[in-house]
Amino acid sequence: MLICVPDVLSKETVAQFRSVMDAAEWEDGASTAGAQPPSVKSNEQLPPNGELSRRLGERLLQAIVSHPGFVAAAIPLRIYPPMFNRYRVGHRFGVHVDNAVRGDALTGVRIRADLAVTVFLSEPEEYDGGELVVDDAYDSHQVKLPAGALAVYPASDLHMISPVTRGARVASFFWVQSMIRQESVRDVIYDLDAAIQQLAPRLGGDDEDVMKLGGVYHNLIRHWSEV
Amino acid sequence: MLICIPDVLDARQVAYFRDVMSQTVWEDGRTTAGSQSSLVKNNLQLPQDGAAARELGDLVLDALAACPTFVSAALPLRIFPPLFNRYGAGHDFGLHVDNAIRGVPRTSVRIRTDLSVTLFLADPDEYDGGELVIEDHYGAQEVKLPAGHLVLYPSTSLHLVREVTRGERVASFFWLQSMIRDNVVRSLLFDLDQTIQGLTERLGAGDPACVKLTGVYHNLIRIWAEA
Repeated sequence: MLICVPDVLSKETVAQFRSVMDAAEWEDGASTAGAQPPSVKSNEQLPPNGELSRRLGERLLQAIVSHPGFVAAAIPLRIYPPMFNRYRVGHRFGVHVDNAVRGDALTGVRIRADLAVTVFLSEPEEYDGGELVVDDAYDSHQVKLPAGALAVYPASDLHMISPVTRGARVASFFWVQSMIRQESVRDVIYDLDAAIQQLAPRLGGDDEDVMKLGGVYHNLIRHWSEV
Repeated sequence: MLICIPDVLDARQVAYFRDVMSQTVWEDGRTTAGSQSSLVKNNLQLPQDGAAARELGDLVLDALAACPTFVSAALPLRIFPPLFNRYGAGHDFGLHVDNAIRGVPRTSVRIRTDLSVTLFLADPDEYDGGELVIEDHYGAQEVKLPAGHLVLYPSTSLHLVREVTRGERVASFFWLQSMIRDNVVRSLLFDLDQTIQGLTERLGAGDPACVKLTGVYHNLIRIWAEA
């Protein structure tokens, strides 16, 4: 299930990111393409092991891991250091599936990539094309979110970035190993959480039924989580 | 978890059961006991292939199917044909665990005994002693219910029936294989279902949160059920 979470970064924070990034040195994105042929991927990236990438990545993660919408959708266990990329006119990333396991050279962190996350750092008006297209079992989803919003989707789904035809699309992306490995299970837990979030303001957080549902939620996590 | 369910049979049905049973010849209860439990079992049973046990057993199964709390708590896949027993003064059944697998006589059907059920057919004032004592991780629990009520408990628990010192304790007992093998998971589903029932009464079945929760319940059954 593809889930969009708005307002993970404020517009001010996005502006700060962009002012640093727009002045930085970018490199060819082919170096992190995994086994994909270079023809599939054409974009630019901040050097993933560079100081700037790490610094922005840290700051991004601070905002993300405290965001209830992201936590509910991903139930994150480990997060890969965020990377930053830019698609200018003619750049694209053809249809692909992400590698199953990713190791980070600097930290030694190795994660199973259950989920992929894209944090949009350009406003949709800044560029044409550049949609994130995610194919799941039912449909093809086109995603182009306001700056500061993120999309989280199963890394097992085929996805692509369609060619940019005007302007530049700047984003951060990274992978998450979830405490809940299986997608169908994570979806059910997400639905339960959504129902609780809907009921709590209506009935009160101390309502007996809301409390019981909270118990069921935590017991499901207890049953299924890998930590 | 031990669950007591009231009014599975009404007084008129109980009277009919007792009437049929009073006109039947009883046999030694050890005919259906396993090797360990035959050493500690001391009671009478209706012959399991006899007309009385079959007729009354079918009535018990009809009553169970019409009882939503039973279905929600047990999520039955296969139910052993109910048996009937009688403890007169001096009868008891010492501490034992039920056999894990039971074959249904003269069929190829085998049942994994996940849950044990006792349906009380005598009122507590008809006899002294005869409590069903169930040991779980929290300690021993004593059960003596009005006629027509039942208790459902995990077949993994050690249990015994105390010696009857006056009158007669008459009951039906049987086992079932649940669609949900794991006791913890089954209790979680029972909690969720009971909460949804409560919310549906308060908010209406069409309330979006109730609809979402009902989806969560069925999706969990889909993930976990053996059928």
